Formats: sequence, C-alpha cells, structure tokens
Amino acid sequence: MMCKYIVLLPCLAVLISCKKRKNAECAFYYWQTTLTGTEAQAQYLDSLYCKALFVKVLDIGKDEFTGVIRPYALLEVLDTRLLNNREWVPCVFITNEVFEGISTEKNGWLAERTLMAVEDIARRMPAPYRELQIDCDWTNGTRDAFFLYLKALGHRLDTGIELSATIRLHQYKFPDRTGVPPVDRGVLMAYNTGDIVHFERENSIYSPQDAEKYWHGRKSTYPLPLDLALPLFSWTLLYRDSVLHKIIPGIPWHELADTFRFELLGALPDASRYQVVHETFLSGHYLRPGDLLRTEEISPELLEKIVRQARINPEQRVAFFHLDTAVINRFPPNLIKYICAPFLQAH
Amino acid sequence: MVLLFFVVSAFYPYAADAPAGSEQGNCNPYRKPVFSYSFLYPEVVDKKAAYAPFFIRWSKYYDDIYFKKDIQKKENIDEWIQRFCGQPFEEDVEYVVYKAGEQEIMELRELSGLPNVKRFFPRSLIGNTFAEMLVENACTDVIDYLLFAKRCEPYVAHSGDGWTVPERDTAAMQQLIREGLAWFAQTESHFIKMRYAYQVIRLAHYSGRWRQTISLFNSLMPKVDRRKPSIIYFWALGHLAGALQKQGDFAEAAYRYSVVFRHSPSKRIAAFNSFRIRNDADWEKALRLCQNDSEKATLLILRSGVSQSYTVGNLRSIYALDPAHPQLELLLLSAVHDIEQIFLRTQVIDLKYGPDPFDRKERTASQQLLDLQKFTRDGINEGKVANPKLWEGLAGYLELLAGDQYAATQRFKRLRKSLNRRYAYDRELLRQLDTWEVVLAILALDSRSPYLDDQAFRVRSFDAFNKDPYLEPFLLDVLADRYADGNHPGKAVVTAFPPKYLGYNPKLAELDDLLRESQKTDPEFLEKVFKIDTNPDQIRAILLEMKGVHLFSMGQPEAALVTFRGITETERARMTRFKPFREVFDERIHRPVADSLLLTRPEIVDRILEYDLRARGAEAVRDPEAALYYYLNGLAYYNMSYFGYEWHAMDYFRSGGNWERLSRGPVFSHPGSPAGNRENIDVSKALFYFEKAYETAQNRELAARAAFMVARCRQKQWFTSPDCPYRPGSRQVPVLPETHTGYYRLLHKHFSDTEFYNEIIQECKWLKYYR
Repeated sequence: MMCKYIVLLPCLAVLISCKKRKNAECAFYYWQTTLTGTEAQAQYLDSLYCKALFVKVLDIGKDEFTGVIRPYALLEVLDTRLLNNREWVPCVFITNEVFEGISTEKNGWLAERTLMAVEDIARRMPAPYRELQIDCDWTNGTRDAFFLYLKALGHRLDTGIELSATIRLHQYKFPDRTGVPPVDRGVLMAYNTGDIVHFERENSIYSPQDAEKYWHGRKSTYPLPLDLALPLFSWTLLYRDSVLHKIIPGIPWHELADTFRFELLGALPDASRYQVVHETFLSGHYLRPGDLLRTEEISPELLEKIVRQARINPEQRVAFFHLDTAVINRFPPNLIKYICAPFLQAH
Repeated sequence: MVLLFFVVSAFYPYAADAPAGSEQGNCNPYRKPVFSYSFLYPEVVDKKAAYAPFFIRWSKYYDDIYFKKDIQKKENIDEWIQRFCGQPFEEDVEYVVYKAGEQEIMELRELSGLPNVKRFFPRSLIGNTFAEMLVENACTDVIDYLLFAKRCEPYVAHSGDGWTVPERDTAAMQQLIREGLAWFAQTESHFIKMRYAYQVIRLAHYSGRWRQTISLFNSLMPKVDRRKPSIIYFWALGHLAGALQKQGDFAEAAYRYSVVFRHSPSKRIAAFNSFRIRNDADWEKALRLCQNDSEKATLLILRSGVSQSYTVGNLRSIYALDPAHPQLELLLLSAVHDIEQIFLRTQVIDLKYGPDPFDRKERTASQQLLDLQKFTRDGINEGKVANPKLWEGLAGYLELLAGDQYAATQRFKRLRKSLNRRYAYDRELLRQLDTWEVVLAILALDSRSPYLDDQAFRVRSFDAFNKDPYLEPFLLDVLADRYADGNHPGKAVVTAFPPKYLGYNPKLAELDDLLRESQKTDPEFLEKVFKIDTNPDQIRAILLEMKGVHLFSMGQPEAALVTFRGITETERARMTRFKPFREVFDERIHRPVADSLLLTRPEIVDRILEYDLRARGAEAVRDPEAALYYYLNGLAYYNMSYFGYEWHAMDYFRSGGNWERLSRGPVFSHPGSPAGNRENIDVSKALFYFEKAYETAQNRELAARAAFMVARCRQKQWFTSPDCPYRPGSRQVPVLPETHTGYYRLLHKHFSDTEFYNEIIQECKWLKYYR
C-alpha cells in the first residue's frame, strides 16, 4: 500500500498541485468527551506539523424526555499534552432541533450559556483560545434562529476571538438558498455526502458520485473565508426493520469476524455489510437477529479521490476528522502528507 | 438534610448522561418523525408505573404527570413524614429539610429537649410542625444529621444549571467523610444511619474516588437494618453503580442500575441513561448476579427499553421469567404502539408526507403483527398475566389492526361485559374501548356502499368520537381512501385536502365527480368543503369555472365555453375580470396594465373564438384585418400563459420558483400538493396565432410585431424544452439553438427599418445578441 503511494506521489503532486494553492496548515479535530492525549498522539500531530486542534468541548441538545435545552458530554480535561505548542479551538456541536421553535430570548440565553460552558472548560486549558467553532446542520426551518444565535454569540465574544461555523456541502453549493452564517470564517465539511438512510447504498461518508453534484456547478467563491475538513473516520451503521436505527462510532472488526454472531453479506473496499445472526452486544449496543450492519470507512484511496475532487483552496487550514488510535494506525503521517500534498504547506 | 437530597438526577457528577442527540453512538440524526395515528391511551397502564415513559413516548402526557415533578423531593419528604408517624405537615418538612439554613437548625439544636420554648424558635420556624416535633421530642440525632447534611450539600450539589463543571474541594469532602463515618458509628437509629451512609458514599463518589465509594457502600450498608425499606438505599445504590462503571465493572453496574430502575422512581431516569452493557460477557455476568427471575426480567426490560427493541422474542423471554412482571405490559403496549403506527398509516399520509420509504408494512410489520397476536393470545390463555383485561383489549386492538373486524368486535364485546364502571381502572379501559370501537367503525366504512356519507355521519354521532381530536382527521383520511376506491376521485381529493388543492393540478375526473355531487338536491358535502351554505349555484359556479379554466388551458376553448355556459347569470356577474389583450413586451409578471377592456373568463373565451372566426373569414378574402385578429389572439394566449401578466385567467396557482426549472415541467413538485402544480407553460397556441399573423400581415409594422412575438414564443419553448441547459433565473443572455432563433434573425434582417424595431431594440437590450 505504502509503496503504491510512494510511486504515485510525484504524479499526484504534478497533477494536482498546479491547480491548488499549497498554503494550508494541518489541523485535527478531537471529538472525544475526555481530553487525554497520549504520547503517540502528540508525536503524530507533531510529525504532521499540526498547528491547531479543534476540540469538541460540549454538545447541546434537547432532553429526550423533557425537551429542555441542555448541555451534554462536557469535556473532561485530564491531560493537555496534545495542546502543547499548538492552538486549540473549542467546538460546540448543537443539534438542529434546539433551534426549532426557539424564542429570541431563549436564543440569547443559549448564547450566554454556551459561552459560560466554553469559558469554564477554557480555564482548564494551558492557553486561551482565539477562535470558537459552532457545528450545527441547520435547515431552512431553523436557519434564522441559528443565525440569530451566532450573532448573539459574536456580540458576546471578546475582541480578537473569531467565530467560525461548519459548512455542509449543500450549504456551500447553494449559499443563496441556505444562507451564509454570520461568522468570521467557515470550515467546509467534505464528507457525509452519501445516502445513510438506505442499507443497500454505498459508503455514505463520502461517495464521489454524490459529492460531484456538490462540487459541480458551485459558485466560484463562497462569501466566507473557508477552511477544509476532510474525513478520516469510520463508523458502523445499524439498521433495524429496514430503518437506520443507530450509528456506532468505529468498526469493531474483530467482533464482526465472529461468524456465529454475524454473517457477511458483502464486502466492498470502503463499506461492508453484515446481518446479525444471534442476539449480541456490539460496542455497547444490543443487536437482535435480523439487524443489519454497514461498516463505512475512509480508505487511503478514497481520501485521495476526495482530495482530487475537492475544488477549493482552503484559506488557512485543512482539518482532519478526527484524531483517534484507529486513524493513527490507518493513516501514517507520510501517507497523509502525500495524499494531501496539494493542500498542505511543505515543511 | 436535603439541600443535600437536592442532588438532581445524575449519579455521576462529571460525566453528563448520554446525549439524546449528539454523540454518534447514541443517536440517529436521520430519524424522521413518524406520521401516523395512535389510539392508545396512557391511562390503560398503571399511572404510578413511573418507568412507563421510558417505553412509551406520550411525551406531552408524561411531561405533565412525570417529568415536571420533583419526585426525589417528594419521595424524601414522604419518608420523613412516615418516620414521624404522619404528624408533620408536608410543607413544614420541606422547609426544614430543603430550605432552612444551618443557623436555623443550630438554634433548634440549642432548644432541643427544653420545655415551652416554641416562642424562642427562629421566626421562620414558628408554627412549623416538624420543627416543633424535633425540639419537643429532643430528636438531637435527627437535628445533628440535618446539620451534617447541610454542610455536605455545597460539595455535592450541582452548581449552576449543568453548563459548567464544578470544582470539587476533595480535601474538605474527605474530612466530611471522616466526620460522617464517626456519626454513623455513634448513631443508633437505622433510619439516620442509612442517611449518613448515603452522605459519605455520595461524597466519595463526587470526589471521584471510585474505590472508596465501593468500599464505603460494602462496609456500611450491611450495618444498616433494612427491614424497613428506604428510598435512600437505592439512591446510594445508584452511586455504587456509577463507581462500579467507572472502575470498568459494567456488568455489576448494569445489574445495580436495574435494581435502582425497578425500585426508585426518582432515580429511574439516571439509571436508565446510565445502564450500559458493552458486550455479551457483561450481559451474561449481569444475568448471573440477579437474585431471582423477576430481577432477570427487569434486566431484559432495560435492555429492550435502552435499545428500543420491543420484539416478541424479547417479550416472550421476559414472560417466561415473570409473566406477571409489572413492566411487561408496558413493553407489550410499546410493541402494539409501534405496530399501530404502521398499520394506521393511511394513503393520505403517504400522499402528504411521502410513502414510508422502508415499506415496513410489507417487509416486516405483518409478521410482527402476527407474532404479537399469538403472544397476547398465549398470555391470555395461560392466565398468568397481571392485568388480563388489558391483554384482552390489546388482543382485540391487534385483531382490529390485522383487519379481522369480526374477531375484534366479538372480543371488545366480551371485554365490555367484564368491566365495571365502579372501578376507576375499568372506567379508563372502557374509555379506551369506546375509542377503539370508533376506530373499528371507521375502518368498517364500505367504499361500495351508496350510503357511505350516512355511515360517516353515524360515526361522527358517537360520543367517543368527539372526545379524541385525532378521530376526525383519521375519519377524513379513511373516507378519502374509500371515496377513491369507490370511483369518487373528486370527493376523495377534497376530503383529504383543502379545496384550493383542486387548482394546483386540476383533473377533469375530479371536477366532474364534484359537479355530479353539486347536482344533488342537498349538496351538503360540498357546502362543508367550500364553507358555503344554502347556495348550490355558487358552489356549482366555482366548479364549472375551474373546469372551464382547465379546458381552456388545455387548448379547448370551445369545450371551455360550453362549460362556462352552465354558470348562472347571477354567478357570472360575480366573476373576476381580466385584460389579456394588451401588448406588453417586457418579461415582468406582476405589473399594472391599463386597459378599458375588462372581461370575465367566459367573455375572454367568447372573444377569442369570435376573433378566430373573424380572422379566418378575413384571411379567406385576403382582408388585412386577418393579421390583426390573429395577433390579438396570440397576445391573449401569451399573456395568459405562465409567462404573461394575466396568467391567472388560465390558471389558479403560479409559482415563480418554477421559472428556474422550466425544463422539468409542465407539472412541478409543490409542497402540500402530492399531484404537483401544473403550470401553463405551453405557448403553442400563442405561437400558432402569431405565426398566422406574420403570414397574413400586409403591414410591415404588424409583421415586425408578429415576428418578434413568434421569436419570444420560440424562446420560451426552448426554455421549457427538456434539453435546455439554461436556467432562466440567470442574469446572462440565454444562448438559443439555431432552431429557435430564426425569427429574431428575421426581425433584424428584414424589419430593421420599422418603427417597432427601433422601439423594441431600445427596450430589449438583449435583442442585439440574437442577430
């Protein structure tokens, strides 16, 4: 595999570098609920000259039972070695339903609470933050409320702290229809392009065919300075009674190899399908006979396709989603540097 | 003590509960809301079964009766009142335990045991029955405990509202643990011992000392006499489970959580959210820890609830362990609820919200329904279930859903006979039965019957019908289905949708069906639909005008005219007037146009036919007027098309947004209209008349005008062609293929010397690009 990429490297670089500016810095997302960096992770980031870590500090959602807007998974800070010599950007994930029917007053309250939570976690970090990122897959119905929230946040942020937001591909292609969030900068998420709802479909994390619809015919410029987020993650989708039931992070390959519990229905390079034969627990989730599983991951080949397809010059950073042990094993630093050479600054 | 008991619901202070919709592993962001009907009432299960909301999602109901109440506080106050033989008032206990400050309790301590000291009570405690009992009976152990608890509270209470993580002063907490242990040792009352144990276990847990938490629980709890049950034990057990989980013992933690879940209403949410089994080994171990089958059944129930897996297989497993388990009927109800949502999904819902993309009814639900029917019948026949009446009712409801109306009717009759209105629960079940019988009557509506409307009227007359607001929309959906099956497409449409729907994409069959209905002597059905009373002529006029407009837009003016003639003179006088014969060259739709010639739709058709006749006659004798009449008709057709300012004369609804997707027409998708919206984008009639005008024109100015309008029509035809890549919304001048630019070139080549050409070249700046 590595040999192939070493051979491919010069060709790729020649093919792509002439089109794209190589000025972006490497960054990573850290999407765990506990900040506990290992030495291996720190070395990994160092070897990629990673200048920033986007750290998810909390989720905000509506309580399933009471409907109250509340924080979830506040980051527990145990070890900050990953932040040594690099900037950190707190990220807040907010579910879209939070903004359904929210009043203006509640929106202001939410902005205050968000900042309060972020500041509380920031106190435990070694350095202050200079950017705050909000991640929400807003829709037409929630756009106005979400944008109002962003404005409220922007007014409350100290001078010198930038506000950024994640931008989905459809929002990138149709800024006139979906609106442009009132923030200082955006991060274009070049993933989640495919069909996640139907079991039979291919890899939903990134489908080159589906993604092409977004890349093709987009406006030449987006109204915000944009960075780029690229996927390195994997997950297992669980379908029950033909309906997507759960998303399980990661792929427990060693468990899926157990033919007593799982029957392999079909294997593709980036997506395999299984049927549950005997009831079992998988990564903390109860599965019953007849449940269907689809594993999805980003292979180096697919990442290469994404890089080739992504017609964007990231303003400042290329951020990879997200840092974990599986990613470190699957994507050695050199491989990432080779594949993402069209974007990344040479060091 | 319980500011201290004021600890909200989480067992573990730092780790927020599993997010409902944030972490990938715990949510499905793509889950869509279910559009269907439900006719199950929460009251048919035990209202006090506070675990019900974990299985049954009647959110509004449980918001009110369950989640908005502070159960923990209530539980604790009740236990204190019980301890003092029911003597103190609830609000007095609440004040002393939850609101009084340390200083107030200290003052009580000083007065404790002294006679006639009520007048020396702190002002806030004067008249407080609980404080009086503590002092009069010299309950110093209780007062000391309350003081200790109030000192613990700041270290364990959530600060803020959960948006920040409190800093813990672990040194001070350890000191309090030491003090608590000393108090525990010297206190004789087991009621108070239990509370000291709880306090120190909680302090250890909130300090993040997992081993210490486990050790304290294991060493202290055996020393407390638990013959008298206390909710505090389960609160402490929750902390033990949290610490076990943190230590990696997920199996024992799960088992402990299941015990808390079953016995402690106030900690049920936390136990439910914290219950976690990682793998099969955890599960097997947790099962082995269970003391009896009933505990095993609770574990199975939690597994089903947490994973939302209400399969018959799971139900049977629980039933085999404990057929009378109080939570089994909740799971059964949930399973029935899942099934009813699939089987009561109507065709109208499919039309309004799109079909079930997973086609669950065909693929999986039918088998599930059969399995569930068999399971309920087995449960009834074996006679071991706790609430056989409910099982009987659910069996009937499942028969109803399966379409076995006879069996459902018979079962409902039997059940009704066995119920007694004197009992509160039976009354709830009777109310449920009333509703199910209405649902049964609705589903029994016969599309072949000529008395379908009468049957619906009878359904509406049932008392129960008006008590459930969802029965009316359900009836309308089913009626719409039946009308459609019974060859009444018009009635089906206006039953399912508001009447404006008829104008989006009119269908002759629908309009004719409604016109037949309007000829009835008492068209009550249509009066309700159109909200017009006692004027059948007006309803008929509305329908005839719709039909005429449709025929007119389909290029059949003669048929339209015949249709319009069915409208009475009085109703004609009310009709809207238009002015379609004006010459307007720019592309704006919404604009004022002045014209003295104001015509109703029948008059427009009349005039077009008259102009057509005159034009043909004139053409036959080479009269120059022929071109003028052809031109006027061309103008009218163009102006009344989607592209003209008078589009409303030939259509009931126009969406400007379709301008950007003309090539996908003429029927466009439209929210709220499953049949879409037909736009009148066909300009072939206008083109025909303009071409005739050009051919017959003997005047170069008129010929130039006709040539320009032919070119416009050809341009619009290109826009509406499926091959057209141009999006008319663009600001760029569209590139037209050779086949569509002939008349523009002709205009430039042969008519550049006309006055019209010089005017139009000024007005339409883009014209110069089509040379």
